[in-house]
Amino acid sequence: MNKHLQEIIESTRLILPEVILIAGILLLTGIVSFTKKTPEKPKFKRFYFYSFALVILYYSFSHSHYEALFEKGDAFHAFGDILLLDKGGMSFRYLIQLSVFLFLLHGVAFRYRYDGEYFILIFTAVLGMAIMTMTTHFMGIYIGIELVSIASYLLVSLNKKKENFEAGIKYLIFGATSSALMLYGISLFYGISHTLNFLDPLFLHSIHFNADWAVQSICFLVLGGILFKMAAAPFHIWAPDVYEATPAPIISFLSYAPKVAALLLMARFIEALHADFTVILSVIIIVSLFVGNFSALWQKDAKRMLGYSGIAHAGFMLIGLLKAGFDDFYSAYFYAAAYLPVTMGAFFLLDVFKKQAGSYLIEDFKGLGQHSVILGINAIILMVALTGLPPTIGFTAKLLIFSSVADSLTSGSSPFYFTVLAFGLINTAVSIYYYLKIPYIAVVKSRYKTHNLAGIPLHLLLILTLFSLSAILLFIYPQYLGGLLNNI
Amino acid sequence: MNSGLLTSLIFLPLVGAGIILLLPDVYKASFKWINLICNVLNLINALTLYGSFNKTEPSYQFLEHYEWIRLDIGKSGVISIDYVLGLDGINLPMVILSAIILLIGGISSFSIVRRPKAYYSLFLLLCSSVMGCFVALDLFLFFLFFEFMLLPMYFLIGIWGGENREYASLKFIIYTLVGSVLILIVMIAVGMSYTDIFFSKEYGKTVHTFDFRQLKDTTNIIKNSFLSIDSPWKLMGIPARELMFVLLFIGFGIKLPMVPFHTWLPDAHVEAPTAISVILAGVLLKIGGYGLIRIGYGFFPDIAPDFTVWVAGAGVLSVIYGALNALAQTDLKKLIAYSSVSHMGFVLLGISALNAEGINGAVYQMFSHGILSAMLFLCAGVIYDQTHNREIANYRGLAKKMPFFTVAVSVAFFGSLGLPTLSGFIGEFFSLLGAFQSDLMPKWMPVLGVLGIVLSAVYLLWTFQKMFFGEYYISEKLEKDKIVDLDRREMLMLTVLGVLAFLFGIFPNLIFDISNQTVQEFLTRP
Repeated sequence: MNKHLQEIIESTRLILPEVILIAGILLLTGIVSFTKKTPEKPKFKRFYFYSFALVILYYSFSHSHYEALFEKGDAFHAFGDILLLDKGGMSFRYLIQLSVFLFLLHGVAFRYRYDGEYFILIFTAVLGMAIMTMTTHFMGIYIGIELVSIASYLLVSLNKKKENFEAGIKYLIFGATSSALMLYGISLFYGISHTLNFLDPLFLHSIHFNADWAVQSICFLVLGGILFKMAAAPFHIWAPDVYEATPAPIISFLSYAPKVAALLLMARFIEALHADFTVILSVIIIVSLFVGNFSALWQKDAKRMLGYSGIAHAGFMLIGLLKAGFDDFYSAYFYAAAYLPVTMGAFFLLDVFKKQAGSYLIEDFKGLGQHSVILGINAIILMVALTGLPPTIGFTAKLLIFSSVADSLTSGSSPFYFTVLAFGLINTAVSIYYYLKIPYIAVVKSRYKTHNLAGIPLHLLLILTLFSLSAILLFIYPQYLGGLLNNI
Repeated sequence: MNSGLLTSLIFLPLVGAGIILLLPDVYKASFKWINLICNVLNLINALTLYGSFNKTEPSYQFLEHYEWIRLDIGKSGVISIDYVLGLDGINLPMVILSAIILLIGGISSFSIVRRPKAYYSLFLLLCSSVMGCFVALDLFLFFLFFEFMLLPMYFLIGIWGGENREYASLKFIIYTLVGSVLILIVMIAVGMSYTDIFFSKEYGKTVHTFDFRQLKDTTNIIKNSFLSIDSPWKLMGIPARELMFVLLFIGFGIKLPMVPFHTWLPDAHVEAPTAISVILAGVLLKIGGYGLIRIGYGFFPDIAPDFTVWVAGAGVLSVIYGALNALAQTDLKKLIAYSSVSHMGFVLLGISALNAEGINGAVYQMFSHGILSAMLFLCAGVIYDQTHNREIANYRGLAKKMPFFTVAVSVAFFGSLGLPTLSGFIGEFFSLLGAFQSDLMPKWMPVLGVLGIVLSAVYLLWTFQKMFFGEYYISEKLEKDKIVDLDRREMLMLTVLGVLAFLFGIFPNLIFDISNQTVQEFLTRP
């Protein structure tokens, strides 16, 4: 008993930054519970302040803590073998912390009046993602994914409007189904291997001992839960409705952070299993690209369009996992990092448009780029970056992704590599049509009346410019992203 | 010789664009002058380069080389992308041509009144990417400029174009984007398969390079990689290297434009404003030909001879089909657009001959077509600006009312149909000469090419006769019932181009002297 207690204390010390995060969540909960709600006097600024403080605290703590930790060794286990601390997970936690920071920036810039509950839920989701990035144990995975999911269901429906409830319920039903599938898969895995950690030699042994088709189908069940978080087809059906209904800052966060956390998890799973996932992955990638891009073509609502674009991007990210050697997923990690300023910048852009136009309908963006040239230029840059054309980081990321597949093409013999490469390239060409529609309508079409448009506040343009500038600067200096990811 | 002149060719227009963007709208009137100053400086720059170019040196000159990206991608090695610029006999004529045509385009843009700030900043952005595309000696850098050209063009056609501009700009961008996706595939394959042996030793890892100087050397191919000479990799029976050549051929063929991938061109031309048409025909099309020589034939010298019949066939098809289409047009600008298709066919024919006459002729033909097509589109613009109508049938006997214009049009028309003493003759003559001397293609191909010249004489002279001879008449349906001759600005542009057409028609050595050494070296390479 004493030994167990000792281990728990040791482990707690290892994950001190996450402990601080939990303490912060509890503190926020306390503040929310014990302060009176005064709707007439908005106090939203206070909670933003707390949250900024918490993010920065969490970031600086994990920075110093993990830097010191990784000088002693490469990987550490905590809580038995449930948690695994390594440099890859740390890099991804930085991305997630950065995306929370950007979420808060987005919210405060547009004065979204969020109550304390929102921030509690956001940080709960962050905790879940942090667990996702540091586990190779099915229990850890399940806890992480469920923490993120439950927080997201609530975040989506917290607005208490009809469409929010509808989206929330859809999200909940699909989420619960894929959770159930995943649990079922986990239980089957436990049945054949008597272990829940997929890095366990016992687990790998039983995998290679059992029939391939059986393992592949169980994998598909388990991956279902992860793919659901990534919004990859065929677990994508919730995405467009949720994107459309949820306020921009929240969906900007939810479209990015869970996706990359799930990506890392999936990469680890594939690397550990060292089994041939080519067929399953290729089908998922091709369907995601197809559904995402071709549905996006017909969208009238820009936010919904970004939902479909998110599905396609999940497909692109997964291309990076399609390696003949089942390891070396550098390009996927690079894509995940490069996607951060681009996608969150795009949501910020839509909110600037909405502030002017009054809706997210692409039609209503007419002439806004003429009204404010800076807005027009930013719209062009960010949408070009989402398409993946130079000179933006989106291009470098796509180049690496396609190079990695081309690399597998020569070393592996599967026809799927070529098919995926071809589909990826075709879809890039298709996607330019709907991405460029936004800047085209904003810059080229003119408005009947522009005199009644208010000027755009300077700080919004400034933040927006920061987003697009980082998309360009990272293209010129990709070493910075490379440096972040070289630890993996 | 690191003079920084090439960098300034690219960045001077960018600085100009930045200045225009930052200036408030009250200085609206100065934007066109800023644009003009940038382009004049670029022209001076290009002429300086021409003057100090060493004609006996076949390899790259004025090299500028800086390290740019060294991206460690784990086990696959290091991706090395450099900022390399340089000139040789193939791209120097293109740079001079671009400097001239962009300047003419800048002068022609004076008639643009709507939203000058956006127009001129996009225009300068286009200038910068065109220059960059021609001087870049790194595949990644080349592709960057190649792609980047699309955006300003898309908006320049989409905003300042004619009635059907949305359709035209969309068609333009989708066609060219498909082309660049094909080139992107090649770029990825090349990046994965070529290595810089020297740097690889230094890094202790495979360094994947995009530097043209490394890529044209087939000894730099990684053993057993995708593009190695004996690569076993095939798609539907086509070996990898052949497949890559075909992709480049189609990719640059779309840009060129080559039949059957040419349909975006007439639409884009008809809708684009005059200045943009001038640049599109005068400069942008040349990037297709230049890319095919530099990348397609430069990187795959072992494959290229096998495809001669295909490339020459596409060239002949473009010549004939473009000319036949031009014959059927009633719209002046569309006719000129199809004549562009037809004349760019000679470039393909010249390249495919793979001998000194052919490739020199192709480079010359690109240069000459740049000047003459710019002239043709300017002429079409002169009429359109006055009456907003381009129907050939609506005009007759213009020679009486517009004598100077008639002279200009006749120079452009006769130059295009290949009259000796004008530049068009030299280009077509040498392309065809090369094609006739080449053993790689059957003789009926250049014979059909000659037929193309006859056809172009037919449609050009026919149009000339219909529009300029006979009694003066313009249709009552037009907005204006009176037509005036060239103003001073139009006169200046057309005179300069006309003089150039004569100059390069009488002294072909001005270009051949530069290009010949490089072409010779290009052909003797193993």
